[in-house]
Amino acid sequence: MNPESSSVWDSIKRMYNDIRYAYATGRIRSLQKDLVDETTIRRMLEAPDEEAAFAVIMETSYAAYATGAGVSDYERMLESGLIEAYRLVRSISPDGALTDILLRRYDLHNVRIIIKAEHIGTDYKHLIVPMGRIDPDTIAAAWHVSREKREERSESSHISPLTSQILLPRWLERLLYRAALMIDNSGDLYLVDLMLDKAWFRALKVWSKKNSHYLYAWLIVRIDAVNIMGMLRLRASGWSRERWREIFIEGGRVSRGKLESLYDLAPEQAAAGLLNTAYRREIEEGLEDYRKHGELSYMEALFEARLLEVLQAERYITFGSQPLLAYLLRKEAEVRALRMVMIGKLNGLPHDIIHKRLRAFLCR
Amino acid sequence: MDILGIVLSFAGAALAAGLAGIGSSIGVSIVGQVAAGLITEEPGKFGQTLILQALPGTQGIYGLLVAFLVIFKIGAIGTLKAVTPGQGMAILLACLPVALVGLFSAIAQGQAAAASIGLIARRPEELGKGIIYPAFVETYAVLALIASILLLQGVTL
Repeated sequence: MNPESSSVWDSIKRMYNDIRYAYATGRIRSLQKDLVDETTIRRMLEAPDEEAAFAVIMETSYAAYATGAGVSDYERMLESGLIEAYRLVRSISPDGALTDILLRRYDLHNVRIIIKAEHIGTDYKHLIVPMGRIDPDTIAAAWHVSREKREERSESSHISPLTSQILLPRWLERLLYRAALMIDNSGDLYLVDLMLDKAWFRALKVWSKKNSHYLYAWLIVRIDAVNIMGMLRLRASGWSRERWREIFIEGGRVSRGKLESLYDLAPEQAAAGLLNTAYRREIEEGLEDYRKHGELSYMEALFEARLLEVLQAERYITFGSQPLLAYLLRKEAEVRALRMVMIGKLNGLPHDIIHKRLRAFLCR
Repeated sequence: MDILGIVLSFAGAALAAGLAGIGSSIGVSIVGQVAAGLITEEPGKFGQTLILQALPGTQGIYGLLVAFLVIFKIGAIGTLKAVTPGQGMAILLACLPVALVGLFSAIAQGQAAAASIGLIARRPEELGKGIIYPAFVETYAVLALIASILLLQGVTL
């Protein structure tokens, strides 16, 4: 698991650690067959309307979550399928941290929603994603305490006022504390947004570097994809270089300096400047499409495809945490793809536009 | 009677049965765990996985067989024969191929069989191929068994 370890003793420890995943791997190998394949996605794409596309979903494992409400039920069904996948993997995984670290993204999403809702004085409950590990009401209560104890916070800036009042993980307590400070100091919710985004990447990086070389490899590509697409999109939207610097995520293979040196160029030239990176294929194909259609969504889909490609390394793993991680990350990508098709169908988007955005799932 | 020769012979028999047995138990356990995961979702594949689980168990049998040969050779059941330290050391060394190769090949075979369970999870019709891959590992356990038997035959008491 740990990429740094190489001694014989470490290899033996690694093998025994992986053997703990033997049962879970066997189970996941069977469940992998239920993942939606290219043929299913193609059938949905070729469906004449949303009803026909939904009928294809009803032939997949998501049918188990149908309530009979018809097409309007699809979003809830997809969400239920994903929740069930996480629940199952968590129940069979010898290490709960493996799912918790991926689910932290949903906890952070809920934190973001709660902070924003409180700021504009609205109810957060209908926007909550029921997938995090921490009860949203607990987060909301903690945020309230944090806001009420403003004076305490400013008097002893290194001590969180939440300590001993509400039972929260330390990482969340620290984040809420920092978010409260940010709002006090600048009142800018955007900065809080950025901090929460980066917090997940940072947590995932620290965990995966120590525990899973496989997840770490995936994360590096993910960070690069976010940074490259962010740079190209924000530059095209006229954002200043300083503003872009704030959103850059550290830890990828493409350095900040490299992207910054391309920032003032037009998206086409900036993308061409990235051809000598590890993402030549994605940039080249994406650039070709950009030249024809003037949009970057195809390049984004190519990066999504690359992320799924990185996950394929688990095929050669007999047992270990890799198949579990790959199953969850593929399930997330699958839900995104199904949602994309349904949204496209419901909004009457042309077939080729939806098709292009589903590059990760379709070979051609 | 020289006790050292007997002690060395017993050590050889114990290593042959012990190490090969440890290897087999680990190998069988690995396959069993992966198989149990698969059977949770697809109970109908029990028969197929059972064949694969049995494969790493043979090393333990080979180890026990060599241990029996040593026991009969030195007369451990009944009247002990006189075994010199040199003969005892030769018996101990003769036991090592099956002991060491048994230990490691059983674990390796368990891993190969576990990978084959991943294969039949997706393609149950490929069970034959799934058995052949781990079965090749068996070759080396059999060669070690033959080596141990031949070496034991070379020790005259």
